[in-house]
Amino acid sequence: MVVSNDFERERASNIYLMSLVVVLVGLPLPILNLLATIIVYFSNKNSTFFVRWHSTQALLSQIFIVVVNSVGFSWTLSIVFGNEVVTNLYIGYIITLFLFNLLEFIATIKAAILVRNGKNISFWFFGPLTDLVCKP
Amino acid sequence: MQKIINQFLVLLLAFFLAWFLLSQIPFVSRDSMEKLSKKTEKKLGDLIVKSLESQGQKIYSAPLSQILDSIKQKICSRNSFDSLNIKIHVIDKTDINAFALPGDNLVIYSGLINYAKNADELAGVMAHEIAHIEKNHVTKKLLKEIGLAMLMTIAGGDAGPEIAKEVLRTLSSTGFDRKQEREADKIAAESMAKAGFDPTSLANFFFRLAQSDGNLPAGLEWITTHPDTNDRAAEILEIKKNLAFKPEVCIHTPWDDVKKLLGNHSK
Repeated sequence: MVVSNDFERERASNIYLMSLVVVLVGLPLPILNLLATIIVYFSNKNSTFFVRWHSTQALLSQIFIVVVNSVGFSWTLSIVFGNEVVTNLYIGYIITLFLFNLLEFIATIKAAILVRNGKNISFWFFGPLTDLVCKP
Repeated sequence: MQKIINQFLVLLLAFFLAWFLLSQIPFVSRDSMEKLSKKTEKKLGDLIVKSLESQGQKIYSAPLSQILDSIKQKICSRNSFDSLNIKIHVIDKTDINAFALPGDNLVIYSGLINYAKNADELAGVMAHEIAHIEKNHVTKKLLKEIGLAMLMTIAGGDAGPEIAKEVLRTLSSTGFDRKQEREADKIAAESMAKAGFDPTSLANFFFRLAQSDGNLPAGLEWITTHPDTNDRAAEILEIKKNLAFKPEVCIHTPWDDVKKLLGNHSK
């Protein structure tokens, strides 16, 4: 990972903090997560490699969570307004969804702190994937 | 690249494994959430029927019951429906309404029989309501609108007759959702054709209801619980195009004479 200056650290750390806020907002409305992270991603597109790398990792990890949350969201809607009923499969899914959101939440806080201190953090799967798509 | 694929597979595996394991915990009893037990449904249905009977409006006419049973029998037996034990209750009310109750009960108001122009129209409405019973729509609707706890209380006999009346009101005056109504229409058209009733009659019944919409006669309940009648009638005619249908005479009593059987009881 490239060396970063204080400004870059702060900016990259803020990206994670931003995605932290939208995770909370985005739980009921998952599309907000993705929208916010895409906006952040594009606004940092021409930034330094350090900032771009972290905004890409934040975006990729958000996409996974958005897919998981969207399924949960539409399933819930079909129960509330449609013909579906609450089953063990549904409750199991919602708990799994919360567990993965919690994991994402913790990882994002950790990333924000470490990045602010100039340390690099590479998430499981999303880190190597970011290496693949984000070139210096 | 292989590392990324492996990590992705591990991530997916972790997700599905967590979901699978958590789904094994019996948060809700499958039987209770998707379907009330047959015993509870029967108890609930009996209570509501009792509530209807206590209002002194049930019509007890053996020839009429025989005619309605023969229509029901034909629809059920020709379609291998598990509803041969459906009990039909004719209620002396001028409202044009029919609805299914839990425990395989089907309620038809005398107003609807009077409004029907022939036996096939009545058979269409009956086939539609039988489809709701077949597809367990009644219980699903009650679970959604009234809740499992309340239904168990009613079935357990701990609730007063007022609550049974409330369930009756829910079933008689509110419709099913659009998807369930269309599913019931489709099944009704198919089962009518198999039983030798003309599905066009159900479409005609809908068209007449839609036409009456502007000048709604008092107590035209069935249209308020069955919206989009024009569209649905058109859909039934579309479905009919693909159905092999051979008309059969189910009842030999002239339709006006059938209506007269209500006479002594109808207002």
